[in-house]
Amino acid sequence: MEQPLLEIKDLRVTFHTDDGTVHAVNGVSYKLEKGEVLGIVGESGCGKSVHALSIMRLISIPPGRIDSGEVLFYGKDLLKLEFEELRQVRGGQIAMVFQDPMTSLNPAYTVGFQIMEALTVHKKLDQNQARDRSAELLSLVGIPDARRRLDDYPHQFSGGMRQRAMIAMALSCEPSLLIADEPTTALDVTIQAQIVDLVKRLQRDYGMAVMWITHDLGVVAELAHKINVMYAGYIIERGHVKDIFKRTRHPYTLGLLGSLPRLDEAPGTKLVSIPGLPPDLVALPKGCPFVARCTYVTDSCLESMPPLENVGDRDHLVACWNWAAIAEGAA
Amino acid sequence: MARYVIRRLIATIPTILGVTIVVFMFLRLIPGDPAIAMLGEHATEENVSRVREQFGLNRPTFLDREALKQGDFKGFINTQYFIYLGRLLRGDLGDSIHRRIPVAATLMQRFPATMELAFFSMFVAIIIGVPVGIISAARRNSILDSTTMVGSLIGVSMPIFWLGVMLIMLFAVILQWLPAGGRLSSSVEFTPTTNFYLIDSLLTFNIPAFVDSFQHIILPAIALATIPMAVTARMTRSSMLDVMQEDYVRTARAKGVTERLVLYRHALKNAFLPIITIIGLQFGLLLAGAVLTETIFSWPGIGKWVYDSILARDYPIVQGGTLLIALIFVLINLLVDVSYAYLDPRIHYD
Repeated sequence: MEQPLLEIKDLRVTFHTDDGTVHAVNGVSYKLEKGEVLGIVGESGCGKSVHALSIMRLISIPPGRIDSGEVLFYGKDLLKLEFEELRQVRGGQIAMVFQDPMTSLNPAYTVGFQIMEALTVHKKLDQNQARDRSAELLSLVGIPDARRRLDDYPHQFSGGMRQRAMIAMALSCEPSLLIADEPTTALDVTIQAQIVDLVKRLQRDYGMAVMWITHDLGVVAELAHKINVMYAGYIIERGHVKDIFKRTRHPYTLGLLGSLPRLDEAPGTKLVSIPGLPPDLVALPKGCPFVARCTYVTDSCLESMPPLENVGDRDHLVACWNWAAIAEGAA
Repeated sequence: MARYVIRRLIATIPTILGVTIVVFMFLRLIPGDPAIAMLGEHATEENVSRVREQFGLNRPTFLDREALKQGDFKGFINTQYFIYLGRLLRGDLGDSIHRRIPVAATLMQRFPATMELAFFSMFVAIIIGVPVGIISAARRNSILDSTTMVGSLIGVSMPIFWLGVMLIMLFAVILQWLPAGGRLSSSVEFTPTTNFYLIDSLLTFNIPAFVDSFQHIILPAIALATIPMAVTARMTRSSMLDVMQEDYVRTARAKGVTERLVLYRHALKNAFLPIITIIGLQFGLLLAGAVLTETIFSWPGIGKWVYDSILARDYPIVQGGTLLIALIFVLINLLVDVSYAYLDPRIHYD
C-alpha cells in the first residue's frame, strides 16, 4: 500500500493550567491520503483545533505539551524534526488557514508584504517575482484589482477578502496539505459559501489534501471525502461521508445530525439539542466521555472507554460499546 | 499629517501658558525672598526694598485688585506675571536677579549640556532596555528572564542621588576609571561651537576631546538612564508577551518564518506603540531627574543651574528653565504621537 500523506498515531496533548491538567487530545490516530479532503467535526473544546495545531507544533508550549504520539508526514515524524526542518514544512508543505481573518493577518504590514513573505521564506524568488506571484495568487482567490490591492493593509480589506488573502498566502508555496481551522466560522453565510467553493475549486486544481475543521456538518457534507467526529479529545466516529450521514453508529454523531436544521421540517419545529455539557477535560470520567449525555448507556460505558472498531466494510470506525444496538435501531 | 502637527503645535500654547502660571505661583509660594537671598540676612530694610523695587518684586503677583477698585485697568494687570508674560511674548526671558545677565543667553549656553545628557541617557536606556525586554519575553520564565526582571525592579526602585553617589565612589574614587564630574577635563583643548560636546568634537575630528567628554558623560548617563531603562525593559517585555499571543504571530509561524523574524518583524512592530508611549513619558521624568544628576555630577546644564537658582530664589532663571523643559517634553510627546501613525497603519491624523 502507498504511504499515506499524513499518519497520526496516538497523539496526546495536554495543557498544564492552574486548574489542573487539561486533557485536550487523548490518543488520536488516523491516516490522510494524498488529495483527500478530511472533515474534522466536533463542538468547541473537543480538541479538533488543538490536534491540528499540534501537527505543526504550533500550540504554545508551555502551557501546552505534546505528551506522546507520532505525526508522520511523508513518513517523517514532525514531532521529532529539528526546528529548521520543521520550519521548511510549515507553510511550505503544510499550510494553515485560521478561524478569524480579522486577527490572523498582521495589521502592521501590507497584505502584499505578508504574501510575499510566505513566498520568499520557501522559494528563492526576488522581490519582483514574489510581487508578481502574489498578485497572481490574490486574483486566483478572487480579489479584483489584485495588483493594486497588494499595497493595502489588512484593515482596508473586508472579512471575506482577508480570508481570501489568508488562503492565497497558504497556497503560495503549493502545499500538499492545507489545514483549514474553522475558516468560515467568523464570516457571514453568503461569504462562507464562497469560501467553501473557493477551497473546493483550489483543492481540485492543485490536487492537495485538505483538512477542514468545523462544527458545521453541512459544510463538510459538501466538501469532504471522509469525516472524523471528535468528542472530548477522542475520535469517536470516522468514516466516509456517506457512512457518517446514512449509517451513523455513534450516539454523539446522531445527536449532531439531529441538531442540524432541515428545510423539509414543518415550520416551528424545535431544533433538537444534545442534553448536558461536554465533560470537564481536567477530570475526564473513567469510561466513555459521552456517558452523561447518552441515551444508550450500559454498564460497560461507565467502566471503560470503548476502542475504535471497524463497523463496516470500508474504514467506518466507531468508539461505542453499543454501536450494534444503534445499528439495529436504525435498521 | 502636516495639518495635525500644526494643530498640535498650536495646542501646546495653552499648555505652556499653564506651565508659566503654575511655576510662577509655586515659586512665590516657597518661603524666602530673592532680595534677602541676594543681600544676605543682615541686609538693611532699605537695601532689601531697593532691590525688590528694582526687579519689580514689590508688585502684586498676578492681579492688582487695588488698581481695579480705582478703575485703573492698566494698573490691574501691571503685575509681576503679566509683565513677565509680555516680555516672554517678545522672546525676552528677563535677567537673572543675582548675576544680572539675560536668562536666555545662559539658557542657550547650558541647554545643550542638558540635552546631550538627556538624549544620551535615553539612547542608552532604549538600546539596552528594549532588547532586554524582547529577550525576556522570548524566554519567558527562564533564569535570564527572572534575573533581568528582578534587576529592572531594583533599577526602578533606585534613588538617583544614591546611585549617583555610589557610581562616583566606585568608578571615580576607588577604581579611578572615570572622572567624578564636569563635562570636560581642563587639560583638553576644545572650543565647542554648538555646546553639544560629543557632536562638536566628532565633527571637528577632535578625538581627544571626544574621548574625554565621552568619559565624562558615562557616569551621569548611567545614573540618569537606570530608571527609564528598567521601565522600558519591563514595558517591552509585557507588551511583547501580549503581542506574542496574537493570531498573526501564529500565522507567521505557520508560514515558516524564522523565530527571529517572528520576534523582530511581526511582534515587535506591533508591540512598539505602548513602548514608545512610555519612552515619551519617561523623557519627562528624565528631564526632572537631570536636576539631581547634574547637581551630583557638577554637570553644567540647566538642571543644576535651575537647582542653584531655586536655592537663590532667582525667579527668572527658574521660570526660563522650567519653561524650556516643559516645551521639550511637549515636543517629545508630539513626536511620539506622530510616530504612532508610522507604526500602525490604522492610525491616521487628518
